[in-house]
Amino acid sequence: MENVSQVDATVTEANPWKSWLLVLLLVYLLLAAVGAIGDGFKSAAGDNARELFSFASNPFIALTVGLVATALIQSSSTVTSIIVGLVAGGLPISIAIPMAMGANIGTSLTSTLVSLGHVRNGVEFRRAFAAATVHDSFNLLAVAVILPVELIFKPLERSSRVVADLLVSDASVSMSDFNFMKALLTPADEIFSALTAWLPGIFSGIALIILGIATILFVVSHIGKILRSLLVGKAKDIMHAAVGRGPVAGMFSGTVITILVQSSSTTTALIVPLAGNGVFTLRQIYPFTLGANIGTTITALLAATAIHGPMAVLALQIALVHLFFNLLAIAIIFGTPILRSIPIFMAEFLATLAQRNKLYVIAYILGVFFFIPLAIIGVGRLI
Amino acid sequence: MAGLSREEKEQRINELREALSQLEAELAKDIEREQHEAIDQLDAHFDAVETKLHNLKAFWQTLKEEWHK
Repeated sequence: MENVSQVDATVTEANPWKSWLLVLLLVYLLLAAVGAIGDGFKSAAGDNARELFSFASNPFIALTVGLVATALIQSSSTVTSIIVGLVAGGLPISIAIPMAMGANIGTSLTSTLVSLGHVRNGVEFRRAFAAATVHDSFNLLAVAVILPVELIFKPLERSSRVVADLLVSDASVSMSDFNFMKALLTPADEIFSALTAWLPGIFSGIALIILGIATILFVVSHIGKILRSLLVGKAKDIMHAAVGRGPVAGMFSGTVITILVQSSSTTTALIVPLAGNGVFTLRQIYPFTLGANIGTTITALLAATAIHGPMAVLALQIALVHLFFNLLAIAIIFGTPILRSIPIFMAEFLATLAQRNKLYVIAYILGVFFFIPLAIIGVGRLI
Repeated sequence: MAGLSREEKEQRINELREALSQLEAELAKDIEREQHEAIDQLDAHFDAVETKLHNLKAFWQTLKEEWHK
């Protein structure tokens, strides 16, 4: 694995402009894939999108669908981009919101898996595991605090709708009725449609969804590798600038690095070894991981630009919900001194257990990311 | 120490406080220097996200070893 990465890095260093062209091509493919999912879902579900996802009309089931999907795919960017495409195809926003929240929890599994690499050294493992699970703990607490409020008062749904309406109407006015994104994406849309149009009935729509998801998985995986090679120097500069400047600078650096590499998993996984060797404390790591939560929302916002027509507002709305949810979580939890310390206590407690007995680690990973969510789905289906 | 006058004790406390502040500032600088050095080594960790399978194997191996003890 290291050799492949070194070869990638060498190629990137030798031909940076080629790498940037490849990044542009991959972003184009991402946008086309999101559009394809929307078109495919519209074609396959027709007016029955709500009925099709009726199993997830219970918000806790929708939450666990987003959580488990992200934990399995190991990329919240992929899952939120797919959610944007599904919303564009008719998935109700009320179902999509808990799904996006679940994606936020699911993505923190990656850094937890990275921390397992420190298992040979007890103290180092405890520190690395705490650094990884502080992200999980914050994201779990964020959902516990904000989801009930959202279900009752809908602050995210309402505020994102207002902003989406403003942004979409502004964009259409400024472009004088010429939709630049639509014109840009039409060739790719036609290729995707041609690849699946020969299938009968709803199968062409289903194939379009599968093709779109496969393309997003491919794009997110490859774009991450290329951007990591291209921007390692820039990431170092940003982190150097944040050293000794407090939590806001740490949060800002986490946000910017995640936007640059288009992956919160990369950012949080990056910080785990630095915490493991004891150079950075858990309290210094904590705001950095919160910045990653903000930075990762840029992918869904980017994906939403692929959607045109009447569903453009809804696509942008769900992307904005992801951003607003993370901003609100930071404002409420990190902004309140009592709540701010809870994820740290949770992470330290989990890390102490993990150091004492490794079976706790297995119980934690399988329990939080798979068994408890699946049990919720099972119970939800019975009710 | 008991033979010191009040002024001498106050002066001694101020000196100790100043020395403590200096030591804390030096320690903060040392920590920041170590952090900058660790960031310089970031290349080694930048692909950590790609080594999850390796990490799982290492964890599994350790778990088995602990289980047999």
